[in-house]
Amino acid sequence: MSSISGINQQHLNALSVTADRLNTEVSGLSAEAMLSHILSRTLGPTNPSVVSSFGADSAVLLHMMSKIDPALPVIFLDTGFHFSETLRYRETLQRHLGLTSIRVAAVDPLTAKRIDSGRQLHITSPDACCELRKVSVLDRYLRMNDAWITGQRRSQSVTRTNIHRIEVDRARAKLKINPLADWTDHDIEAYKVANALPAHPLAKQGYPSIGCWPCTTPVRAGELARAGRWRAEQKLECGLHNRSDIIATSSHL
Amino acid sequence: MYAYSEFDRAFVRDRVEQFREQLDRRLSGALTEDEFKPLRLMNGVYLQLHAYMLRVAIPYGTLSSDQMRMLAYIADRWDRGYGHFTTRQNIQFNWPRLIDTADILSALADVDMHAIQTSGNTIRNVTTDQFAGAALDEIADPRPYAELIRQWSTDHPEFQFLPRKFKIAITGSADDRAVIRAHDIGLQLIHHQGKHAFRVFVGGGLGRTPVIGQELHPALPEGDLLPYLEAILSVYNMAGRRDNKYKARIKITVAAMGVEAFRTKVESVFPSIKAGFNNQVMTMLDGLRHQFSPPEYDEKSREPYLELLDTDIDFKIWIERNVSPHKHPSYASVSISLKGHGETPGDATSEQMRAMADVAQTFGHDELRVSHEQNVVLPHVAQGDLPEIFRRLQKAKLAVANIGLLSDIIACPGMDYCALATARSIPVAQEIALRYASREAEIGFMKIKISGCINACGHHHVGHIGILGLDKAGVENYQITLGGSAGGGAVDAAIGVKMGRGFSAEELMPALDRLIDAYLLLRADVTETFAELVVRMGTQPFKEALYVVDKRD
Amino acid sequence: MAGLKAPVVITANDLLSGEVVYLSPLHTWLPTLVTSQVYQAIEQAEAVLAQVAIESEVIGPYLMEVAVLNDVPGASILPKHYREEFRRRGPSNYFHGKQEHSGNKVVS
Repeated sequence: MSSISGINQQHLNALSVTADRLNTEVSGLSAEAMLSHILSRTLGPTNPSVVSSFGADSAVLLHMMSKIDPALPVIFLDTGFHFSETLRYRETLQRHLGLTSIRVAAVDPLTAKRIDSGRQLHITSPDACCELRKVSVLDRYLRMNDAWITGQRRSQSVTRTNIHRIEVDRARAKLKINPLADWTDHDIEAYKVANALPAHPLAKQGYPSIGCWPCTTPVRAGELARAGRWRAEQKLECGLHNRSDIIATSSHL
Repeated sequence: MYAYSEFDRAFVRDRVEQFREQLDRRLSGALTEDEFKPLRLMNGVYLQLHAYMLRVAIPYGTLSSDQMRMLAYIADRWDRGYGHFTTRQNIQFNWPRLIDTADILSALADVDMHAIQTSGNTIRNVTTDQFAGAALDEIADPRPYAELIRQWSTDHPEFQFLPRKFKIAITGSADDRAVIRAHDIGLQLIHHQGKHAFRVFVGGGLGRTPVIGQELHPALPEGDLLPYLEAILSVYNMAGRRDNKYKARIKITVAAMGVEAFRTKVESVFPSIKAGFNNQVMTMLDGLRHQFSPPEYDEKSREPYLELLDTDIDFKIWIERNVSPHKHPSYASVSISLKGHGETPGDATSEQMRAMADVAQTFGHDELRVSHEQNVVLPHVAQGDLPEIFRRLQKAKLAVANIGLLSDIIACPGMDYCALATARSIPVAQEIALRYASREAEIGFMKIKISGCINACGHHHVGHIGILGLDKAGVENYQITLGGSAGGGAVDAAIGVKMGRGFSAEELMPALDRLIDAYLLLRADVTETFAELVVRMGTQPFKEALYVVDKRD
Repeated sequence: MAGLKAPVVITANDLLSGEVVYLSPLHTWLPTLVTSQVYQAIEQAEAVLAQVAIESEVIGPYLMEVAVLNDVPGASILPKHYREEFRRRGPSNYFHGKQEHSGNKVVS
């Protein structure tokens, strides 16, 4: 579990102030323009990373980012349970977009063997498996960063309806930037078409949301996009996003 | 680890001098070979095909760095610069001259080692889990019990002339890494009513008539361990056959009598034996336990380990395959593979022995273990030291990342060395390792075990693929068994089933190819191991793969 | 010994080194098969065996079947059984034993 020891209220207050300032600066800007503003080193946070799942919609944010700075670090959480299609798609996008700093983040083998020696944790406790292979891993790989950038959207899930474009991730004491927060599914598809982005191989096979293979199933007509994730459980999130205690900034879009 | 008392030292020294005297009398002709042979065997000196062989006892596989360095010295000074680690956690030297054996035993005594009772009809080295004291899943460290048994059995007057040799193994975890079900007595440490107790198995064994041991007692209180063992041994001593060497092991006795009747006999002699012990066991155990206390853990940072994982793929693979988690959250256990592709399984040069000793001394709390799978383990290392350990092992060619893979083969010395063998095993092991080197990662967890004769010192009966080398009309011929398992993990202990007629050396590799191809074709996914697949589908598909020739070829 | 067919030689292991040795025509024990005494009659070989069995410089002497190639210069003597071939030449995995002395590593 990410500890908030050493993170004091003063630091969080400072982050809130920064978040507010940035929000004012990007108010009314498009997602691309906002991202550009954030990534200009003198104005935005000094050390951000993009975190991408290389899933069904990932190409959008990555494309936007690559036009501004293809060398920006992109963290990919390799759980060891990804579809081989996802791993291949990562390479496809890397080439297509000219990304030069993809960092593959994985739990270290000894910790994995300690906690899940039988590799059955995804069956016995999916929450613990996500924590082991995603959440605790991200904390380590973000430790040098003061902000992280995601492709999260409000329209993706009932658990995301209140996210904002710029937030304070309280648990990690970092800024969290979601440029596509207010994009609809339609906006996403239109962007992909307009920019001729390669599609994830599984997207056409009924997988609008793609996670690890044991916990991802195709989605039926009429279901929400994330309905195929952890279908057998009451689980909609892996814990990467909703573990943080988000402070909504005062002015937001 | 256990420290010799003055009594122990005096005992071993006396034996060395006694042997030196016996050796002198042999060399002068005062003793004939018939008179001398049993005496040299009692001191671990065998005659093999090309030379004598000295088998050094490594109690429950535990060594200090000084002891490992002495083994290297012995290899250099009196042998050909190498040693062979065995399937009973001992070490063998293949080329000592008889005339040097007393000096070698004396050198061993200098570091509290000996070669006593590694042969003959006595109780042999008590073997155990190579991760004892470090393993995450153990109830408790089994080695104090192993030491207790060792002390009790060494030179026990009643048990020097058993009907046959006697092997005991003990595991501290339910995941049995000591193959206890294939031993004369197997002991599994458990919790029972809040205390330590043992599940006792009896009558297991490999060799000519392989048998999986049966449960004799479900929960023997730890304080009853020695008297109960003594009760078993005395029933065996009386009832075991002495007329036929091949029917003399306890597994035959138990099979003949039935385990119920055997148990009844044991229970009948047990009370008086227990009374004789007068509750000493717990006192002795308490005295021993502090000699096996955990090391003083070094609370250093894990950072160097975590960082190198991201940048060095060879290091990452080595961690995944060869390094195991530890009780202590920032520690680990390192398995050093003595199975270089194309090398002789279990062999280490004196230089490699010294490298292992140095790493153990600097980073490993001065402790090494020999596993029954013929590899060496550093049980206690800090994760932060793993990068440096890896570098040093790489330099000594001890960082082959193949633990648990196909090339991590167990093989007896076979007819290249052993006078009892009916075929060679080492060249088969070498060829298999080289042949599958590029595919073994894909194939995954696989235990191939090779014996050069029916005595099964290579444990082929409990290999996922077992290979037995025989003499068929004056030509080396290899029989394949499938479905064996040493137990522990996902598949229970089981004796492999012979597939059919044997293969010549030329036919053997293509036959293995067919087995491997069948496995890759039939497995449900990459996580289903060969052993699991055989349990699920039986051996029939593999029999067909081996013997039904595809006419389209 | 039942079943043994001539020609045979007598072989043993040297007491001090354990090395494989063969009885020569002069009743000395030499490490090379090619210099050994070949017996064409089993009874004769058994008689000699009984004599040398009490010698103290070797252990475990026994009779061993061979084939003799007469048309090769120096008359090559070869063991019949592969076990004896390994005893003759040394182990397959290292250049140790007899191979060290002869300078010829034989690998199969």
